[in-house]
Amino acid sequence: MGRTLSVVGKSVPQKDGVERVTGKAKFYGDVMLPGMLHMKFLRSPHAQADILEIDARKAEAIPGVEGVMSFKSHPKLFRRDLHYVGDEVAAVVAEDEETAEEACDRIQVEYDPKPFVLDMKEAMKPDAPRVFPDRPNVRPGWGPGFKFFYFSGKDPVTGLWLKREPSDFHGFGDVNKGFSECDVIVEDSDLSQGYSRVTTMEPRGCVANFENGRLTVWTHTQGLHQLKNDLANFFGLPRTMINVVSPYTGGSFGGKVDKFFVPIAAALSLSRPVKLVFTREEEMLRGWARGSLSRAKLGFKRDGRLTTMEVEHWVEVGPAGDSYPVRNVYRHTGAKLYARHAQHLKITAGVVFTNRFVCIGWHGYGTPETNFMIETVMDEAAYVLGIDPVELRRINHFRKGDPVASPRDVKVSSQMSSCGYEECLDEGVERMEWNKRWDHPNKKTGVVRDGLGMDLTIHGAGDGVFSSSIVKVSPDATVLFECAIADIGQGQHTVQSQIIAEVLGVPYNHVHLVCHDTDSTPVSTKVGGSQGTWHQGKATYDAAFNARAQILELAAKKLGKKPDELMIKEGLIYAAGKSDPACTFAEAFGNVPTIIGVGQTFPDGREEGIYPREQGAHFVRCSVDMETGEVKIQKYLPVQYVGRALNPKVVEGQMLGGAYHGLECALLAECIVDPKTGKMLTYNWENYKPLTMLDCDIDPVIVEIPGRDPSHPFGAIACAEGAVDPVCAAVGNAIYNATGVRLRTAPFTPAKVLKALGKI
Amino acid sequence: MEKDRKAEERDYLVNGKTYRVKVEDHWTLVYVLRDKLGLTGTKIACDNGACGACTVLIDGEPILSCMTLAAECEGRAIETIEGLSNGPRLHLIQQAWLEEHGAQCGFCSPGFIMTAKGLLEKTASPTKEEVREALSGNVCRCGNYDHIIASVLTAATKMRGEDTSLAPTSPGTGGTYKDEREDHG
Repeated sequence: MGRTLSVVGKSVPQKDGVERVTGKAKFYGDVMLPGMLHMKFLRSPHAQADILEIDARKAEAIPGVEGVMSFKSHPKLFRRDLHYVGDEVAAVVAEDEETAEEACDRIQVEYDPKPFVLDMKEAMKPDAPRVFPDRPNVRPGWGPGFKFFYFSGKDPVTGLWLKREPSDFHGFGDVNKGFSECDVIVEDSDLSQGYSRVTTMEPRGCVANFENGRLTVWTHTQGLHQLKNDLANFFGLPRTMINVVSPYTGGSFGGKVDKFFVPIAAALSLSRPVKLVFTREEEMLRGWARGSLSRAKLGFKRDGRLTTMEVEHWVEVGPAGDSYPVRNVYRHTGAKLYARHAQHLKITAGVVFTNRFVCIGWHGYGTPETNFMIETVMDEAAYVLGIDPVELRRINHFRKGDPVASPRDVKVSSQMSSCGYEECLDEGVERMEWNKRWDHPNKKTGVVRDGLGMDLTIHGAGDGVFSSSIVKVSPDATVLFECAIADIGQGQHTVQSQIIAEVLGVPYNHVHLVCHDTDSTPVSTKVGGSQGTWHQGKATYDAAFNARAQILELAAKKLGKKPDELMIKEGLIYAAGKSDPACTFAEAFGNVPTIIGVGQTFPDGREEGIYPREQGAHFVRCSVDMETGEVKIQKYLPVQYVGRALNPKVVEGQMLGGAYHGLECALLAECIVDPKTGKMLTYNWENYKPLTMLDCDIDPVIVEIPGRDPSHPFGAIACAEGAVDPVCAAVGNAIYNATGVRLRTAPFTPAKVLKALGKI
Repeated sequence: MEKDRKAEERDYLVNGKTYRVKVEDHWTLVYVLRDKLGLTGTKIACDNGACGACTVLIDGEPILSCMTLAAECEGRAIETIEGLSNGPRLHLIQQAWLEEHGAQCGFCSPGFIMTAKGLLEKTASPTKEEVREALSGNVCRCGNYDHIIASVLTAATKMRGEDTSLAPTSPGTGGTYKDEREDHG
């Protein structure tokens, strides 16, 4: 039986929109408590140094200073060895920020400066200064315990691999044999995305308070309960004695992962509230991403089938060692997007340490870099093969049921649950007037030349560990919906509430969301990896379904009918086929004061060997000035297959944000350091320029094919990080189409364009 | 630390109410609004005049309150995001923001809305290009610019009295969904 949708699929306003547009939304920085102290960090002026001695007596003597923390007092929180300009040396807690800053200046530190390395290629040389004395700068793989896997033994019926064993590379088949059987081989190296910055509006920080034996932490987060658990583990506190409060997060994009043990430790020992808010300069110091260096060799049959892939990919992680971006090389590259005809695959990948700041996640988390590599070389191949770039993608793109060789799958390999690439390509080709406008670069003339570029995106979705939701339905048909999912701007508070309203049959404004802290909510999945709508959505659906079944059971008893003869609409209970309501919730509930529904999602589609992937095709038209090197985006068209858009405006917003971050990386975002000192020169929003309204015009296109994806109750698949992944290559491909020169290093600044053109 | 910072008692007219605050000479307006008056709707993001998150109106003009000394603002009419709505009644700009999904994370929204108010009070029917120009000093890191432009244009329509709808309007995609668990009993 199909149900008519009344809330899902509509662009209802944000669940907590009123708070956000009235300034009443309390972000952690808005929390002001009586007796609150302020924290400031003293940071390293050296790119590589050991601390020989710290003398804090002059700082401690300043009236208003409550404490100075360093490796001497807190060896678990501070290191003696410093690895970048800005590394944490000490922290001061004082009555106000100015006093804390003043005290930082008075801490006397004796440093032993050491040689450092700032450039990724330099760091890879054997004689380069080491970032960590006990290990080389280059580390294959993504971390300790990491294994490359070799896949073999394909199931003849399903196509899935049956065997996976440790190897010194990731892949399958034999690339040497593969290349020897190819008609056309295309190879490119030195493909690189600049080290660039997530930089959110809201600076990072927290307010911590320890009172009556309980620790309360107000902060930003992508996972309230996960942060609570991390704090409990670190400080050895019972989980129930910690409350993480985070109703709003001012943007995150994967970057707000700091746990702020230092101010929390101060609050615990002083039993007074402590507030830390990073300055914009501190914000810029911590949290770089994207620095990459890649080589790809692709082997094709004459008809365009991609049969053999060899990929080498390195990611710069600074001294932090957040090597997660490397992991996504497997989740993207040929292993997934173009594995349809691939018989042979070999991927080697790893991290490179440098003394440049700290790498953390950002929107796509490693995938944009690999997408840039593979889609740049695919574009080159299209020209070599003489096949239209769109057609080459049509021949090779991943399809429903194709196997994925991923080291993360619980089963040896898994299948994609549905595919919408053809529809996305059709839509993009039509809206971009691709067939009419596309021309070979050889035929372009004039000072300002137009170019068309495109590529595909695929991103993991359907990960997740555990999600749960609770609904409490009152006799007046209003609903308390308890759900800890973090809304970092991506709309999860709204979308989850829509699911509740839809399934329970109550108006959207009857759903009151309780989401602000861990005390009042059950555990949600962490938002990351584009899993909110899918993983948490299933738990939310189940909670509402569970409550609805109980309500219909009660109503059936009262009305002398069977539950499946009844339905709920607009908060009233109807007999099937009748236009007048049979009873109200209150009448059905009788003496029952509240109905409680619970839903949980345990580990995900990986268990089942089938799960969804975010998918889309991005198209761009740009103009390039051959004399100034300026690249202007004329039209940017992200086209994404989302199964069903639960809230089209929210989905559009995801595509706008993804394309925006992608364009920033493609056009101008880059970390610049002083090679002499290692000091960052792009430390504020004047030197590191965020794109504004004048710089981008993005026209998102949602492709819905309701019913096609069976893995979600509403047939929704994710739309999030996949929107940032393909942007850089799409722009680079458009520049090639305009100029006939290939840019291998993003961002594509005017200087790089002119250099590629041989003009400077 | 020596507490010899110079301070004066000053009167501020914020959202129609007068406040007396002892203000040190080097304090910025945003610091006084947030930390002394508790008006935390105004945000600090870049703290050097490059993002517009701290925008408030002074005598109707949008200004960057992180780059303005509080001492300069005594006696002038200051309007913050808190002054826009009247109890539960939202300003038409705020209603437009809700309808068009002008906010994602919402951290930049107060600044954008105040800049938009400054624009719309002078220019009742701005073009899309005029909106872009007027709001180009405000940064939204969620990249929600297209929705923000739509919000301002919808707000302009409402303020001219041409659109009196209060409820969000969206046709939705319609259709049905398959209630699997119900089908399977």
